Amino acid sequence: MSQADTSSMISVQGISKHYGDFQALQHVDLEIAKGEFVVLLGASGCGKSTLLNLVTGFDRPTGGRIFVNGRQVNKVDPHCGMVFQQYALFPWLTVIDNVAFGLKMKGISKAERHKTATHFIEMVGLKGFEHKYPNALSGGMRQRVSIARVLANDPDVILLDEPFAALDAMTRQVLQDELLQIYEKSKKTIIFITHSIDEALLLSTRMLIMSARPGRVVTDMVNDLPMPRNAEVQLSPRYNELKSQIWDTVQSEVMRSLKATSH
Amino acid sequence: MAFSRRVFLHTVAAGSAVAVAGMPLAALAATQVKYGGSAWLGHYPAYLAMTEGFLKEAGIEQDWQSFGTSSSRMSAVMSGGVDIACTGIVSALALMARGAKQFSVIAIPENFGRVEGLMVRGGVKSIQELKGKKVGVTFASSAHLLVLDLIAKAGLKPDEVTVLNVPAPELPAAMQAGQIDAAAAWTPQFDAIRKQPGVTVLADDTQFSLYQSNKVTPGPDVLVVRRAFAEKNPEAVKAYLSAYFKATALLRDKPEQAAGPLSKLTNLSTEDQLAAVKGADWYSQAQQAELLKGPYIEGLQKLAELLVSHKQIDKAPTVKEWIDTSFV
Amino acid sequence: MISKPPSRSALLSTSAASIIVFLAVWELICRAGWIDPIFLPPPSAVFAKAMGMAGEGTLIGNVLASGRRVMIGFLAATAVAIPLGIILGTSTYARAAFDPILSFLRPLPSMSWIPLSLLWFGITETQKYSIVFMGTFAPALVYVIEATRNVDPLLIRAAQNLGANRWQVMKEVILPGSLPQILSGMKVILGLAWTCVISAELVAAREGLGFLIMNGKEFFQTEVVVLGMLLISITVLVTDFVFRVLENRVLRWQR
Repeated sequence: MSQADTSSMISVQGISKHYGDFQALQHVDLEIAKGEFVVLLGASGCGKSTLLNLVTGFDRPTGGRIFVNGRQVNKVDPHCGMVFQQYALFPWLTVIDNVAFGLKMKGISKAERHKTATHFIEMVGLKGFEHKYPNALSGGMRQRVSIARVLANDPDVILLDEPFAALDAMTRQVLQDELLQIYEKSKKTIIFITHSIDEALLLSTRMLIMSARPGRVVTDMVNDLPMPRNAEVQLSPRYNELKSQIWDTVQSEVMRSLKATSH
Repeated sequence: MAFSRRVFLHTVAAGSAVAVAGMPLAALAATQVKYGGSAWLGHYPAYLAMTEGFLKEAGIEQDWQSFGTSSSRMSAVMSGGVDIACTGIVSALALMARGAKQFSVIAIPENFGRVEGLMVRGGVKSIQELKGKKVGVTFASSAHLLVLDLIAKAGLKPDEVTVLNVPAPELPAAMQAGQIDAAAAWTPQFDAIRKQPGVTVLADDTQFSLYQSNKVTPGPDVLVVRRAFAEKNPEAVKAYLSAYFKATALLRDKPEQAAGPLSKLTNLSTEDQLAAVKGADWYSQAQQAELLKGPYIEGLQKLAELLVSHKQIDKAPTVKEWIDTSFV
Repeated sequence: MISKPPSRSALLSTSAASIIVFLAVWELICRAGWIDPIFLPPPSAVFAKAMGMAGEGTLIGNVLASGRRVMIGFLAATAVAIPLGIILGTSTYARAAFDPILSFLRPLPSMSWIPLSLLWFGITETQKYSIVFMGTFAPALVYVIEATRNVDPLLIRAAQNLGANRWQVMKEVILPGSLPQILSGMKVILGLAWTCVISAELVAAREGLGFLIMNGKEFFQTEVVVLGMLLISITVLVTDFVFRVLENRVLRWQR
């Protein structure tokens, strides 16, 4: 279909992207419905981040179009809130000013935006840290601020590019839980990039496995594991079944990408 | 015909002897003298002595070095970069006040009364009318002392007139652009400014208080020599002075002949150059003995005291101690 | 064996001791008569001159006159250089347009502006401010442009993603983000401003530290010259200190 499917939140149509000779993405078509938690899974360099950058508008596709909430993406749009792996917090602003940043850009009054910001700071469990500067916070706390900042802006879609990769395993677990809780409460549409199969199984409602470059969607599968994804679920036979399914696909793609880069 | 070696050697020897005998004596004996000059009238004798060949005849090779200010010239004397120079007395007095013994005063070249003065714009008729106005003058110069003296004589207090430090080359432009109401300068800027439309000469050196009593202008010129140089080359200094005073004689007796070569130094028109030469009393060697001993030196001493009273120098040196009459 | 790092008071005492030794040696050399006082006055003479001038009330006047000229010229230059630098740093087109002008201005020493400034502003204080301005504007601009381009591009992306438009990005991200580097550059520029003031005071000044030095030179009062130089150093150190205090307040978030 060439028209925007108005029931989708995100519509990616025939997207391709190359940088000079290097083809990052080729013929990517997908529809993401409202309220889905989509995880993009794949080896490094398969174009996951590139796709995300195209959705946010940081980059322009070489071919094809992208629609978010019915509007074509041709510039950076706050309707897609991005959470970066390196946090990208403004070091000269306190936590509360960081979280309120998007609201300030909209012209909302100080009192009001601080009120909203406080709400989201509490939601990510950072009550009491409103007036600290980012350099006084640990990595996990900074990432929470980053998430709160995006949430406070009330975007239609939240995009996360390997947000927990730089954190230790325990912090990661805590944040994964929190993210799921926020997802359940806010019902936002989420695209999440990872190369951890466990993380994909833990968080997603749908998983897209991408191939080695040039990037395409190789597998599109629904994650029917029940919520909440507690220890029982994580140890269940269905979990292992899904995992071994994905593993093989991901494995072969990794092999292919290694072969492609070795010559 | 075959040359025998002997004949050959004899011929070479004879040829060299002829060549040596033919070389002018002066070139063999020439003493190098570094002179610190500028386009100022006080340097005319040294310049003329160079262009008219008087110095060469006396066995002196003069290396002319230009200095924009008296203080930079005297610094060069102190550090050995200049051997002989004509300088305004103010810098010399300032050094004497500090006890600097590196130089001696050996001659008085001239007396100029009419080539330095205070010029005004806008029909100002008296010094009193300068109250509240801006006067541009190069600080630490004879013109500066003239201004201070004129203001004091007119009964004004030093801060009732705004006296600004403007380097000599900038004065004509500043006057023309109306940035200052009056300018005090010496030739050649003196000539340039008085020609500007609406400008009149309000006073010149002849109105200076010490001129009227001792015939001493606010910044008379003296010829100084670096003592270390004089001690090593006493005969050369004497020879220098005899050539020097040949030039002053030319300036006094045949100014038209002097004007031509001098305009190359000053860039003045022949007419202006002639007026400048005639505007000074050029002293002769014979007059030096009297000048270097008597009332003139007293006048210089009084000048030193005047400088102290105007807070230009800390204390008045005993000028006599720097006068050296042995070379004239 | 790991030795303890020296304490702060130990380091301060060492510095103080070195100053005292230096002054003592200087005084002794002069007293011994090895150097003519015209070429190098002893510290005691410099001090005596300072006291004399303080008694007359002229000491502070000279410091303030030069200080005023430095401050006004410097503040004017930074007030223009900072916003202009941010704009040039962010827009490649603007930079391309301005580059030829900047290349022309940058190598010119402040002294070369004296003739033009005299024609344009006459013999006024404005002329002096303009010399300081012209001597510091181009280097300040270069610093700001550099600082602007060193802002983490990820922060700019984040701001855009949060809805900031072009001007908001400049004001809310680039300005605060480049501020640390701008401030450290400005310390250097302030020192530069002092050298400009000295050349500005060559013409048509009646007071000021540059004037003091020039006038002292004319009358071979070398202790006045040394005093002027010392006062310049001290004043720059003081302003440096004030600057650092300011920096610490503004850049609180760095600690």
